[in-house]
Amino acid sequence: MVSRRAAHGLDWLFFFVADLQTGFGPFIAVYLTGHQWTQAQLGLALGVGSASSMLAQIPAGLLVDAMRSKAWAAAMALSGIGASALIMAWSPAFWPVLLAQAIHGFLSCMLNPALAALTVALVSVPEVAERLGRNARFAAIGSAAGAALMGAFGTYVSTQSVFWLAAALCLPALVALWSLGNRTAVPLPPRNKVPAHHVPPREGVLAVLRDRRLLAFVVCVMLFQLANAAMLPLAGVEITKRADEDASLIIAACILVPQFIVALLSPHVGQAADRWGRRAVLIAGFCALPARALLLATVTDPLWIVPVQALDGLGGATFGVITPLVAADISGKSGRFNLRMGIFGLAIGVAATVSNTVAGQIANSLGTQTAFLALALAGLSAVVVVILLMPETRPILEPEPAPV
Amino acid sequence: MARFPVIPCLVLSVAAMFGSGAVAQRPDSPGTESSRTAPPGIESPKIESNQAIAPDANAPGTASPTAAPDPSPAPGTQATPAPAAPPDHGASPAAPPGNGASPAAPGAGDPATASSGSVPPPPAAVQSAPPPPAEAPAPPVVAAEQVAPTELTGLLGHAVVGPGGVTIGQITDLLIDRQGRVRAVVVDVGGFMGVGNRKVAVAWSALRFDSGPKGPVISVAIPPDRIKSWADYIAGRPVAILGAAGSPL
Repeated sequence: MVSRRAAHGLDWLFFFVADLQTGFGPFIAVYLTGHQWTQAQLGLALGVGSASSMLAQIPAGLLVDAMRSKAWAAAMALSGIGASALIMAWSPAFWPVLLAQAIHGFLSCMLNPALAALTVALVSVPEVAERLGRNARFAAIGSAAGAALMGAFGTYVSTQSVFWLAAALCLPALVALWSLGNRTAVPLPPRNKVPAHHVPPREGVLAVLRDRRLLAFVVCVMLFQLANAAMLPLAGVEITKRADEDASLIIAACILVPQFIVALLSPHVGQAADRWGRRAVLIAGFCALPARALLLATVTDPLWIVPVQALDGLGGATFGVITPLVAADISGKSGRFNLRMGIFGLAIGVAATVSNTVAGQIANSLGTQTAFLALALAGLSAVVVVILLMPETRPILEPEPAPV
Repeated sequence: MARFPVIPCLVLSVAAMFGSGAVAQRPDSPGTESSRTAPPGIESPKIESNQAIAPDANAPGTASPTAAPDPSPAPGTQATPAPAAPPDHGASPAAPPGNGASPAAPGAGDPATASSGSVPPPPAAVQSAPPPPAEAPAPPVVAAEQVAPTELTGLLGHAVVGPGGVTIGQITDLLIDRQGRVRAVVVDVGGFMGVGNRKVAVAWSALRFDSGPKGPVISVAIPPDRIKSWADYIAGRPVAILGAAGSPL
């Protein structure tokens, strides 16, 4: 059992990290446009950011695996991300921003797996699923709070202040991390000892890649994102077109409602994954995808898009909990957890990019409805692939506190 | 923040320069006589742009004209390319976008290059504009002008307000035709946190310009829902330009 303080530390850690990461997504375009960036420059800067956050996934995973202390890895990544927020705020000029984007991309790739690894190290095996669910809950609350807070700063103070704020939020995140670090050092379940031993029986990279469970899950993840990533942006554009005055409010609801659903559901997803298995939960959660796409294709009133978006929360909760859980399941004590997270991250990034590009093009040439139908098709195939390919990864023995 | 863009916007490319943001911030916040009296002496030697405002931030700017006459010692690296460069590069005084690093010294406005640029004309010539240096192909010197930051504004990123004074979106690009006429602006409308934004081409003729306390105000007399539901602007595709009723496109 994790101590209560450590549990709260993790809660806050995930809250603040999600909080500050919100600052990097959507505000950059507005901010830089406000500083006379041309569209070409802006595209380049955002491209550098997303390219580095994809290309860095696997190297960052390997790096974090190689580092003894995941807490240090997370602290380094956090400070670096804070620094890149400072650069963004301080100097919205071309090269500094490019640099900041590249740094942020790389360090995010370190941070997310490192945090998950920290969690896995902190709790015993039977508790992992539940704890990952709780992480996802606080991450969702954090990003909703971040969106509200930074939205308010962006609107009422300045877009620049968003980046100062993001940098400032690194401090409480670091404090939360610190409060955890003390705990981690104390008693500790076997997992944490693995990196400390001088005999790291680290699994070979090729062996990781050949694992059928990993490949199956990569396919599932990619199909999920292929169907998922473009849905909200397309729905947002439709809302902008159709709703007159309240478009921004409705879009805000479409972003926030799923976050609240994720916050509500995630712990239950974790428990369900233990009770009924990862596979069953994945199938149930993935079913939300084609359903949502079909509904979005049929709904015409922008207000009705909001309840439909609640399904996004269902899919998101499943995805957010099961992804690190499967990585933890199939990694065991191999010392390759972060590499696997990196592989999944890369798969997610690639699929999301493809999704947005392809769905955008379909929407432009054949209409948004067709695009939603195409996404529904992708979502349906994701469900089918989970059913056909995805094996159960839940560790068989529940009482397994002793090291193997 | 709002005041930050005012000056450097004139030369978009400045945005690409590394420190420009940090430097420019200082001069325009005072924005008053003190900062504006300083430049003329320095600014006129090399016009190029109000980018030359940078000099007022530092004393060296004043020192440089004196140092300038003898090109060899002072400004180090920059001084040398200047006399050498004009034969080839001087023809394009329009500062190459982006980096002052480019050797087209006549243009680049920062103090260091300004000093080197003023090598040919002695400090006395500073006030009167144009005695062209012997071998340099006459940089087109125009009368320098001081304009209050509230009188000018950059267009990129500028807000466009609708009939009710409500901000509809931001200008993200200009569309010109082959004659160089500005036909339309691309306005980024709608959305929340980067979700649901759309880019729409609005006719230049549909824009109205007023003065506001913080500078020019750009408004458009087209109902917002009309703008938000207008066809997307997608680069490389036929552009549907949305005009106001009664105004020629």
